[in-house]
Amino acid sequence: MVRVLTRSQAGLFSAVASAFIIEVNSQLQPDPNDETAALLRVLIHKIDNTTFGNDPPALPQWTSPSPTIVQVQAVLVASLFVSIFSAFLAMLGKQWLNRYASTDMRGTAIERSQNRQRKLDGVNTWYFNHVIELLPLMLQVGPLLLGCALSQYLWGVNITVASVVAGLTSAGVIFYLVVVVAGTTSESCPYQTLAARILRHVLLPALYSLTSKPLALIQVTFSYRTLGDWWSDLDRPWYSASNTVPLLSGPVILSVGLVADFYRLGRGVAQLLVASGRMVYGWFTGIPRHQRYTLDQQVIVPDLRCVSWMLQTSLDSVVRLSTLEHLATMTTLSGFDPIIIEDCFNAFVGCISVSDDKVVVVQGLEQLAAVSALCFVNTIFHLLVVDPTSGALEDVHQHYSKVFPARSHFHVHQFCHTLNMIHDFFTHPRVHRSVCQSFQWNHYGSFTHEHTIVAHNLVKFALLGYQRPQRAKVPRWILRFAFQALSVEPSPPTSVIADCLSIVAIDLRCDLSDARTTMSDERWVYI
Amino acid sequence: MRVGHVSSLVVQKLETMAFDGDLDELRSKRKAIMTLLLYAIRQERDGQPEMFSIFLRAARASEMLDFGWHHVDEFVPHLYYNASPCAVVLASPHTPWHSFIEDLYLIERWTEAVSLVPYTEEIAQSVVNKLLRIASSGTISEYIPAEVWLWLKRRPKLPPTCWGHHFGTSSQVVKVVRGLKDVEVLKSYLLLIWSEWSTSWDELGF
Repeated sequence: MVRVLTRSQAGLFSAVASAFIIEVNSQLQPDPNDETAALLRVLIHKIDNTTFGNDPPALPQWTSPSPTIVQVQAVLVASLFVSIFSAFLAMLGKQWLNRYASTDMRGTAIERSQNRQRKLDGVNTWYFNHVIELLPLMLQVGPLLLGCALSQYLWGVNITVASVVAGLTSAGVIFYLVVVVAGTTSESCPYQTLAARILRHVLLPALYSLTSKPLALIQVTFSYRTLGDWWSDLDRPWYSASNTVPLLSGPVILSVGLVADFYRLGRGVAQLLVASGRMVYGWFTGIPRHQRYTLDQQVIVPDLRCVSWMLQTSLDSVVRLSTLEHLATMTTLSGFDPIIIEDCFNAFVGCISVSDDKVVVVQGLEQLAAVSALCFVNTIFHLLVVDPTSGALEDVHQHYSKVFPARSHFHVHQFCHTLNMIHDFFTHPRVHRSVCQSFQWNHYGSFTHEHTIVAHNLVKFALLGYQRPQRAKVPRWILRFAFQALSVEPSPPTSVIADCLSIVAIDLRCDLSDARTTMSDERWVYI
Repeated sequence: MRVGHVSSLVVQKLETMAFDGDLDELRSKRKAIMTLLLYAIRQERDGQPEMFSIFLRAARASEMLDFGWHHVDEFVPHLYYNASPCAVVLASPHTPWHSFIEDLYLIERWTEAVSLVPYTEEIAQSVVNKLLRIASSGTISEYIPAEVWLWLKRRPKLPPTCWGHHFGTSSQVVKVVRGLKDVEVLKSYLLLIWSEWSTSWDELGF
């Protein structure tokens, strides 16, 4: 609808501007009627030289149009161009949107979803929304230019008429400014414009920082603090004789403070320049620095977003199952958004019911419950490895507490041991406990297939934790899992032992490249 | 197959670490090495002593007074009741001693293991080391049979950093040794502990 409105409005404005352009354009060149009239006057003068008295008529000499007319015409042309360009952009926008909305019928559901997600990411990366938002802005600029040009033109013709036009134009501008101010001050205001959004998100924080930062910066300077201390140490009144030495040392203190502050200032400027250079480099390379992924991540990140989007939008259990299965088989979750934990949790909650503190799986949704539980556990483990202090963990905790009472117990579920452990993790206070202490791996009393799967996944997380910059250690809670599994009697299955030894080997910096190849050959089924 | 491969990788790595004697690395990887303790003991019981022996070498090479990880506590009974006597004796210096206070049967199991193992310098070191540690606690020293003290006569050279040296000079140990009324044991004790007595150890002694 916006597209249609934009195009029709652009056409209307273009027509109005064109009429005035034609009108004003005649004044940019010599008028042949004036020349004809002058020649007639000369002819009459030749026939009867008394007609014009002592003032014989002369042929008019064309010099150039008046500057006012040129200015008026320039503004009118600009208005026309802006209107036509907005119509052109609207047509292009239609073409872009058609391409975006087109559905690729080839490939698997996963490939098509990936393609869709890639397009959505492209829309965000290339600021498509902002470009499209320029259309109404250009249409708003067009009438403004037309009003200004018309006012100026009519001022030379008739001041009264010009005053009416100028007054109405000014009223329109004032109304627009009021709307912008209203939109800026209140996000819930329905009269939102692009200018209001820009002001709210860019200018207001900038103004705030401009007014608040200088004072804060001054207060942290060495000179300010030293002088403050120096002044408070002086005896009162300050001009008393006992203050002679401190007063004489004041300039020295101030000089030292200024030197120190200049050094800090220089260092800060250098750091700012380096940061700016990096930012500019990021602009030229097209992708923000934090979003520059490796080739694998270029595939993984859209995959994860796609999974998240599908879990949020689809209620179909088959779609959710296949989406979660895809997530469960992904080899790495690098670059993931913690929101996916909530998505997996919601998917899991949709498959269970809680009655009398017992958590049971809804009949017919056993498979979905198993996969969603596995994905929920995996994503939590991943977050605990990459960012154990993440605020997202607290969000999940709050959500979890609302769904599951503290005395809940998971049973008759494929991942009941792990889920009970996660339940302990969320329901017991962790104020003074580390993640390592929070996980009680002894939930795996008897070895099940669940144990094998968890062990297999923990190897990946151990490697991820080890590879974190400046860490070179496997997270202790994963090492504790290995310790627990390797220590209990009877021995766990050989695959669990192998995974636990791999965890230890990763922490000891063994070269596991051969072992990992072997590991990847061992296909495992999670349900 | 994969277990064997990864296991051999771990053994090789520990061997290198113990051989290089890089104390910082050994100490920083203490928890990972301790993770292997009970598995290595089980392997030793099943006739594959490589991992256990390399574990002991690494623990000794670290020159740490306490190489253990507190999570081992809950598995100490497993260790003492399921391991071979030799493994019980050799691993005991690296297990938390306070388990003995909570479970006196562990002392019984340990003394039984001591009575079964043949003499080697390594075993004698472990026995004396743990013996002195247990004896420093007056409440449980009475449960140690007199024949275990005879291991002192072997006069094994204790590692420079061990609980035996640390607590061997305590008044409680001296009292117990004197109470045995065995001149040879007393002489061995004095030669073993006090001849290498260091001022850094006297804070806990007398």
